[in-house]
Amino acid sequence: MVPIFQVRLEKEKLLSEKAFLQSLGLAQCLPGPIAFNVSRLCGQQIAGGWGSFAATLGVVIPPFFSVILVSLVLNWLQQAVWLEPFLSGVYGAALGLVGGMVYKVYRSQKWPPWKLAIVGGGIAFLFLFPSWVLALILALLVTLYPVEKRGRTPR
Amino acid sequence: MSLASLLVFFKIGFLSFGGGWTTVGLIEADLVGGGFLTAVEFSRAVSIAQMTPGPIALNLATYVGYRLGGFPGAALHTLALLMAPLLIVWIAGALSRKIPLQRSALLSALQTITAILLTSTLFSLLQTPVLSGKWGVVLIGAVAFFVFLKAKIDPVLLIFLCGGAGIALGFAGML
Repeated sequence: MVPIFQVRLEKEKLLSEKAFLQSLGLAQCLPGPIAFNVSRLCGQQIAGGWGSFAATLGVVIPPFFSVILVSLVLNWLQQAVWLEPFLSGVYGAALGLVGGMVYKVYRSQKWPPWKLAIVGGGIAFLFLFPSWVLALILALLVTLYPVEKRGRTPR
Repeated sequence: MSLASLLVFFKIGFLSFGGGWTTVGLIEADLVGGGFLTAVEFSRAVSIAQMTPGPIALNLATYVGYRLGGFPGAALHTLALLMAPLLIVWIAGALSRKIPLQRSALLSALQTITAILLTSTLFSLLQTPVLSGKWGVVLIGAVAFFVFLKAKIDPVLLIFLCGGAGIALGFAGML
């Protein structure tokens, strides 16, 4: 979704590549679906508050109605013998795609032992105490940010 | 629909860094653990949210809301998920004026957190009782994994191909 935004916005001469990448960078630091944040920030740059509002609605409304439409169609198809195996196959696709994303996330960074230990510990922690996730994220942000920042500052 | 299920998505909104899939494991823990959906219903919700266009977490919120409370439920749950990103822009704006944050360092820190959340999501997707004995689904997942990484295939096409493979394996009695 996001690469399509960039191509279309540049083609329509609404936003430069630099301005787009700036919005994307900020969107990645914010919580929430990236497509949602990118569109909101781009809309803001193009036409201020109302631009942001319109872009937000533009990105939220189509998925909203397609989900409802798909639910209605599936309700209607409930008796079809192929529906359950079809959805199982789609679940398999989810496993494969998430597995692929996990692989890419690990490939895209360097993994010094301390970082691996943090990730391993974090996964174990979430497994044991899933409801403490917010505390975990905040604690990691507060500890990791200064470390990463120090690694970047030229001495 | 209840305030509790809305709060699940409101909370998830604050936690969704690095793309929607990072939070699917957390949503499952809260919804299945909280008794809002069964494991089977949740796996179905994941399949449906995935084959619908749009961010996965957003689709999941809409679908679960629709299941729990019809059209108003869908609207309220979607809104609950989006409250956090809407609120946080003001907080982030005010904060960044007070504390100048180095964006690349912040992104690296977030990437480590993303690795943790995404791995947890993969584990919880694999752990569901829905998969027990269904080796066909795991097989489809393994093939999809390699195709996704090796071939430049449109994920949407891959999703529907996997659905087709599910039907084929189902009729062959291998699911």
